[in-house]
Amino acid sequence: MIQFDVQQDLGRAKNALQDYLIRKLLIPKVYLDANWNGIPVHVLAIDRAGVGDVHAVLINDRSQDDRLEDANKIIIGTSGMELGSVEEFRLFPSHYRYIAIINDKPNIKEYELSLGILQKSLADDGVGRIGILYVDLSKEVPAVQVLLKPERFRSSKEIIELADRFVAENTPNWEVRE
Amino acid sequence: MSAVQVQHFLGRARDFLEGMKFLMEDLEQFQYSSALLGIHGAISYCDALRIGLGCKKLASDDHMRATKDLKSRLTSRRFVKTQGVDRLDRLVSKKSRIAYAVEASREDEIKQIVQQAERFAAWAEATGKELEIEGW
Repeated sequence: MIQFDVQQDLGRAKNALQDYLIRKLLIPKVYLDANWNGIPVHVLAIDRAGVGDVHAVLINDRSQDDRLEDANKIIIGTSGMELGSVEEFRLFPSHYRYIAIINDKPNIKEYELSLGILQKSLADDGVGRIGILYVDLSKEVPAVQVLLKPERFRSSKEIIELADRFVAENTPNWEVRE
Repeated sequence: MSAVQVQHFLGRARDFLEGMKFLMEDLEQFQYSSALLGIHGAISYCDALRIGLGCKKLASDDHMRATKDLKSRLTSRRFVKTQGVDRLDRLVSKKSRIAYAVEASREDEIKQIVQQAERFAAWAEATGKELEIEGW
């Protein structure tokens, strides 16, 4: 298998996540490496031509984790970094939030979510749950798998104003032009 | 009341478009279905916009008159980005051919209809928001 460097892995994962969101949403505008209210987001999509819900994806790279060389099962949400990402993401201003775990080890056959990540992914009031995606880079064409289905967080004036401003000021990486 | 009606037609439009998108994955197998759903999606977006812009009654089958009505309502609001209406005109003109014509449609024609329907939807979504249509 061809080995890619970290930057290339990250780029391929962003493209795969973009394709996933294009399939999932209706004519979205998709942005890569977006600066969302001062927070860097790997992939950001705004549904319905930029007037709908905001979907934000943060990538957590596991490709460099040597412990996975011999493992055939991953338990997601055991590292402090993964749990920390989920914790931080709970207050993020978007309707849908996803953590994407990327991995290029071809031997992984099973994925499991830790109890910790399942608990932390849910909003305090239960309205909203962070989705967990798995991006398998070991295949010829990267595949995105949903490990935990996201649930919509509450909307707010802040999110809507941010989206309007963002769409007006930024050029999408992918869109259906009017 | 009109906000409820707007949401009704908007729901239909998005549903048709989702259906079109789903069938597009296998365009060879479902070419007429995806094209027709795209056209119907565009018609429903048009209905949502017209209701939101004050139209009281929608005629069921005269889609050409509907596009003229939409254009005149947009113009009376001094809304200049009316390119979507021209696109809708072209889509509606293909409806009978896709649904009933005996001769087969070319693959590139189908692809073009699907692409035009997506572009029209993008225009309609942005227009509804920009005009602050109640229920959008």
